Amino acid sequence: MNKMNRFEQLAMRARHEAPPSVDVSHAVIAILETGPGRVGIERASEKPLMWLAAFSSIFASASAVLAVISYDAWVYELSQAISWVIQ
Amino acid sequence: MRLWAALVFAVADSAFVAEDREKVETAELEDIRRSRQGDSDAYRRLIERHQEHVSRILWRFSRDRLVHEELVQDVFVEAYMSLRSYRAKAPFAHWLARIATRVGYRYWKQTARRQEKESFTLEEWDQIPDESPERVDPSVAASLVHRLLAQLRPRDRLVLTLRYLEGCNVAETAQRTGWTKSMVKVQTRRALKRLEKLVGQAGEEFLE
Repeated sequence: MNKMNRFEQLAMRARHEAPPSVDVSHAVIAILETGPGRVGIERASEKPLMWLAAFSSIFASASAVLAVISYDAWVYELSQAISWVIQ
Repeated sequence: MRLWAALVFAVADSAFVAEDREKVETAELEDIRRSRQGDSDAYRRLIERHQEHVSRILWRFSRDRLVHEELVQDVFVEAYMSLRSYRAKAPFAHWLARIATRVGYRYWKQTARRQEKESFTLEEWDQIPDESPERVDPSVAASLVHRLLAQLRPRDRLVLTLRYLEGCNVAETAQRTGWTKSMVKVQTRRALKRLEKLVGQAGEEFLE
């Protein structure tokens, strides 16, 4: 048999080989999350923290607006009281 | 009557298969979109769906289990980095195959620079019975072909690996390597000549 035919037949035979099974999903996600120059993938464990941070921000903004409104009202009443006392 | 029933079943079956494939493709595109937005669970699903295919490709590039696993990891890290460039014109698996080929070829070039060659004796080649290569165990055949091709330059090795081990035609090889079709043809011819010379030496040694 021609040596090149033998090569072709062996190569065809080699196609039937099953590769070893690998599971790289955890390792890849870990590299993407923590590797040098983290590339912007979210950690699954960070998701609840992100929601908590979002709700906290909304609550803090609302509290700040309410505080300004109530301070304004209080200052107005105080100034009214002072002007009444002066009069 | 039976023939008609079989025909109807075949048509219905192919319709179901097409529908399933469409569902999988839609889910995959959704996972790609979510991965681009940084959703790690979506990217994990993509890895789990394609790692066997990528592993199969890279097993042709390194038969060392540790190196092989590292190469598979590299492919998915590189794929994530360039996920924004994926335009969904070709299936995601084909896009990953191109990255896997690039990663594997780069590994070969690095090992060639370090002048690390896998051991191979021409006697091994001659010990295979002439009349029955098809009866050789696939792992033995793969190991032998892998080590034989390792004696060639990375460029020759790549084109022969894709054409003969992966069974790619000229167009597929061109797609995987990023070369033109005519370049693939020329490169295949040159690589085959070098291989012929190499296995020719085996014959001479055997006769001596």
